[in-house]
Amino acid sequence: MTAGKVASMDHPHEAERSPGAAGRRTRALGIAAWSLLALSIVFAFFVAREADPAMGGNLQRIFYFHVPSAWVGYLAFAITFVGSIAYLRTRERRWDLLAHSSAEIGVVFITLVLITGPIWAKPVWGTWWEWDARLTSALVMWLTYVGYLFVRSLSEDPARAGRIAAIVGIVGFVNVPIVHFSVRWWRTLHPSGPTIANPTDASGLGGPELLTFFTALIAFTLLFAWLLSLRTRIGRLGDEIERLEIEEQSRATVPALT
Amino acid sequence: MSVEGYLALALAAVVLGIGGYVVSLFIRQKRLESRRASLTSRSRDEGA
Repeated sequence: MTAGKVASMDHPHEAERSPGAAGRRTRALGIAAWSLLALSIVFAFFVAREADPAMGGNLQRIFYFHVPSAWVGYLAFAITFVGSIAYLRTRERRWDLLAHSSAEIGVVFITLVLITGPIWAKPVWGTWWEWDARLTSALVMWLTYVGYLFVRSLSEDPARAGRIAAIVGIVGFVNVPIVHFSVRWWRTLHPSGPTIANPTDASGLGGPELLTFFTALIAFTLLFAWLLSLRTRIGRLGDEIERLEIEEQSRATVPALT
Repeated sequence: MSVEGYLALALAAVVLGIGGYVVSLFIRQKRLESRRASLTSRSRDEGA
């Protein structure tokens, strides 16, 4: 990053130096997220009833972590989409940092989706992987955002890398609704989950299962917010170090010239 | 592998995935904080 670009940020390091209200909010978010996550695990194993054997029986409990992980992936890529548009419009570093941080977290959660899904599928479908619409589009989504993270390292100029990544972040988001609606648009093996409008009929889930599902959904959403807060703070810290390094280099160069 | 085995495998993946990422974030943060402290102290020494 250029010195001018870093210097244009509004005191990016103040939050790190004085962990005031923002630090307390992040800590509270973390405590809430981890507490709800622990509660979700208890609910998943002791409140939710065993599913129909055709759906995997006990194995169906993976669903309480698989679906919220997918939701966090969608949410993360939506924030990357918004951050990318805002960055291309304003060229403000904070939007690029938000988009980048969110994409990184999204890739982590979609990786979990692509791992837990096949673990459920192997005993239920008899195969780890099926090239159906949901699985294939989800894999393409994962590859797109891995590519998003990769293109950032292609250019020496961070502003240029940010612009290229932003384009990938915008174009790549087109696939996210395709992944979500693929189970309705095409015939797929993948089961369709509960919807907000019609939570019980579409999924066959009862009260204890829905309680568990929505607890896990809120827990994963809070976890995402906490991770995003941590990741953007690390990004700001990296920018500050870059600024300090440039200052140090310029101090070393000026006496040599005079 | 039994159903419980697959379930344990999936849970392990989730715990290791999220836990591993969180640990990596804290390691990155600590490394950057220590680098910042060293740059700030060098800058202070040069200024004195």
